Amino acid sequence: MSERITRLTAAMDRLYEYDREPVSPDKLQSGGKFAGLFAGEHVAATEFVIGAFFVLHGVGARDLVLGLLIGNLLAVLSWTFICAPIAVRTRLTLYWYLRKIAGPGVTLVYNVANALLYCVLAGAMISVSATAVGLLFGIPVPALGSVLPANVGWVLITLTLGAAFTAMAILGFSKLSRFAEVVSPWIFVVFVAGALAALPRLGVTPDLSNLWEVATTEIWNGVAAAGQEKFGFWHVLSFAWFCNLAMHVGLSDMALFRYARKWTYGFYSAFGMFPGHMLAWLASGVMVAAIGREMHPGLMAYEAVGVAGLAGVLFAGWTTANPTLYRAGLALQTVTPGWPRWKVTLVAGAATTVLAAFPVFFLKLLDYVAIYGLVLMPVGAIVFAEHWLFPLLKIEQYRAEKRGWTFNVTALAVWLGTLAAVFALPIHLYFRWLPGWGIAAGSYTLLMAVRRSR
Amino acid sequence: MKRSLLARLTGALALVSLALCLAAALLYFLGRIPEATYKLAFLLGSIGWFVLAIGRKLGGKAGGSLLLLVATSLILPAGCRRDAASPEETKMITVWQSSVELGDPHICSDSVNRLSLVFSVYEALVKRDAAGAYRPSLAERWSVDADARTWTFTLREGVRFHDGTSLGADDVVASLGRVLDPAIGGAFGTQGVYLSYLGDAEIAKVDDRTVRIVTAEPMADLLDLLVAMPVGPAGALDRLPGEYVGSGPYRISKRSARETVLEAFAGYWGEAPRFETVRWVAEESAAARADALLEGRADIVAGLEAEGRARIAGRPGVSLRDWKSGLCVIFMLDCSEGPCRDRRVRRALNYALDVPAIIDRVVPGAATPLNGYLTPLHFGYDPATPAYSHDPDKARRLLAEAGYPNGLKLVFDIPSVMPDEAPRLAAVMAEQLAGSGVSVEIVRHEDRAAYSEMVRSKDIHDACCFDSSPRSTFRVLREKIQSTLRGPWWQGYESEAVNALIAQAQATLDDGERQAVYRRIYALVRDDAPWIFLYRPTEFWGVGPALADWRPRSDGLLIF
Repeated sequence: MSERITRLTAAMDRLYEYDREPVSPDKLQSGGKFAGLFAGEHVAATEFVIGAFFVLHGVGARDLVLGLLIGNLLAVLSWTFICAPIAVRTRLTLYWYLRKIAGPGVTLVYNVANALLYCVLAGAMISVSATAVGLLFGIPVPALGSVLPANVGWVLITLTLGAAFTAMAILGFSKLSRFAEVVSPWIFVVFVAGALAALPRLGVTPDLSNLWEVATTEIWNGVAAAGQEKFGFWHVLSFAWFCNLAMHVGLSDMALFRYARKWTYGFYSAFGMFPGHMLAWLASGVMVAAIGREMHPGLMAYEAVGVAGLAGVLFAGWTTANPTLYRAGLALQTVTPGWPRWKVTLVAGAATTVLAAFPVFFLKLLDYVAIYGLVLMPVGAIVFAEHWLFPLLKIEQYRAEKRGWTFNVTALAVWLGTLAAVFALPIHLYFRWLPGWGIAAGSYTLLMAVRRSR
Repeated sequence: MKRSLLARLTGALALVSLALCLAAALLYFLGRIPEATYKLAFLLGSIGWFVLAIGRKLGGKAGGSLLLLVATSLILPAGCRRDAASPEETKMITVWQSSVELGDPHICSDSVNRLSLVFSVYEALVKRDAAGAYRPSLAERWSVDADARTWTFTLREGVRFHDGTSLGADDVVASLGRVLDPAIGGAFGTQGVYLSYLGDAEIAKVDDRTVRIVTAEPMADLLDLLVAMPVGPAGALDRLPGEYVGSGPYRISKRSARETVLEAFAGYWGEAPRFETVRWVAEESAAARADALLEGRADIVAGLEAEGRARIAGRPGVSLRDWKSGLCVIFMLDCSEGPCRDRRVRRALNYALDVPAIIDRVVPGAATPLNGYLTPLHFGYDPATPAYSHDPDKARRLLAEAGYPNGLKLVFDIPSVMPDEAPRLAAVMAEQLAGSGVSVEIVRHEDRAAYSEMVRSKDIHDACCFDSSPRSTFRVLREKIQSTLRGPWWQGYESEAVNALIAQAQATLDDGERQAVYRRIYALVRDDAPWIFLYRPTEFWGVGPALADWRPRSDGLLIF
């Protein structure tokens, strides 16, 4: 068993070998590059769904605007004060830093967990694209609350799109990445133009004099759709904050910020949050209200922007699913050493395609995003504790690396224990991560201190 | 160097393509270009962006991209011109709706079909703008004394009626006098409604251009009434209904039960009407109206049902428009006797219902839940008022407190039409109410006019299905809520606080202060629940290319 793990971790190390060394000073990037990177990454297919769901969950206009302003600000601060400083000090990716802290075995588990979560996310994105293609063929979108596919047409479309996306991820990931860079600003324009064009349908006059009135009565009027839980200010704030939890508090964006000249480059994340996670969410809310509050991204965009809108949803789903599939393949490759990349991506793509046929993942995207962040968050807390708290408390750092542990069992136990604790907490799913982070950081510090004294 | 310049130019043009997309959306929002033009411009701008930006990314394709952009740029303006011009070139449009009867323009009615025709032909002293505020129409200006009783209207000069006569104070006094004539009748029990407001008012000519109205009591919302009172020449009023002479943008050129044709009135004082001829066709079947649009026989069809909407959605050349109406579909509760006298029972009935679920089952995608007795189109509506949540446990607790721990049986009256979904609605409500221990017997009434009379005479059982149609909050309160007047649709609700606030509102001329008073009333009535608050329906139209840029007005009327 241990030999097998050693073999796997060695294969994994080879895979990530290229970013093993800390970034050298000549490779550091400018702030503008970070602004562009964030602006491009956070206007995606998920935005069509998340913004619309706030409407269906009956969020009031004031609660939404305030919640998004504060929640996104907290997310930017999380990148700036939690993720970026560690990345700038270590110049390492989370993968290599976690390896020093928790050992290659835990890193392997982290990678596999990440791969599975990526597959589900990519599946949801295929579903979003399927709403656009389905509209062309008159195939209805599954109703809210659906778990299983409701009709054969939906299954056929998701399978076809999944196969196409997977094939393209295998054949030309890097070209598609460049295509995504082209799509991203255009998608943002689709959001803005779509919302603008949908406003008159909702009764907004050209002088905008009744904009707020329409917003409070026709769009975010505080009435939840049938079967949807009512959300308020705190839900919005918390969601906006944890939407990228795995990236900021979970520290996976160390991979980006290790190229930052200064930790204050974390503030550039605002270029992604406020246009993407605020404007685009508001825009998709306007669009869904204009089509009578139906969770149908394809129809929303078609009604608001026309044929270009359909292409927008298709491309957004595709360009979001593509890197997700690639990352899932990359992560899975660690447990299938010797398999070529195409084979791993094919397996990840096949799993993703099957998941895409189940509408529950796209219709429960908000909950899924919460779970995704919750699962990976404890790892960030462990790294944070080891990086900042251990020196303060004079606890020895990087014992896994120094002593050659394959598994830092304390880290693994804290991770799993935190997950058990947060899923048992009698509070709303969206509010669990914050106490969970405290539990993980605190218990890891405590247990490692006890382990030292022994 | 040359290559670098070309690359820069390509980059700049790519950005211009994106800007074009945004500009098209903005122009459409401002109503400067029709929807089809906006969508075409967006599509072409997008193609330009992709060709140029991908060319730049992949390298070496700048020249080819430029050519494509040039081609795009040539196509785009041509497309815009052709599309934008088509509505302007159209001289005649055809409107299909369920009825084209004008009836008597002076009866009290809130039928959108009827009022669209009436106010294409007639005008009132004032009109509402898109935001619902009052603007001058036949009255150029007006003033009101501090007592909120004495109103003075100065008439616009140069207004001519369709028969060539000029507007004068006598015409206004005679028209308003006719509106108040009890012999005029009404629609579905509305006879004498305006008389109940202005029966004791003095309406007098001061001079040829000035009319004074002195109401018997303070009436800060008098304009709510006058906006619905068409003015015609005094000499032609005795030929009503039959000969319609107004001062509006269109005059009637042909009229039958099946078809009414309006022609632009060349002597209209305001902005010239958009079309030379508007032909109105009556068709009761919503499916047949949708067919007419799809087959190109209609330019706009009103009152689309789900089936028609589904057929129109996504079809090239036609599109849907919707408008969340000012109509409130409700159940009025008998607050004078029986179990619904008890406020706790009335609140329990509201808590027992899951209105979004009812909408999903009865009128999916075509209604919005209410949070009280008004819609957002009404003055004094308060968006901060919480709607009754679906809470069957609370409903049961309230019923137990009211002395019905084992539930109770109620009898609901419903009409077969208006609202047309009443039978399905009542069945779903009965199903949901059973979950809170309320058993409902439904009594269906086939004769809609007789049903209105029954409600008006307050002979309902425990509750009756109804719709509240006036856009005027003042009218809703006076006719349905205020107990001192016992108005036509009042069903026994008593609240001294509400009565006092209504009186206070009518003595308050400042709009902001009056709105605040209305909002207090809104909260009180919501809490006292004299009605079961259900939903406001959404109206749907289908439009063809000639009206691609048409959008519903805030009052839902079709006036072109």
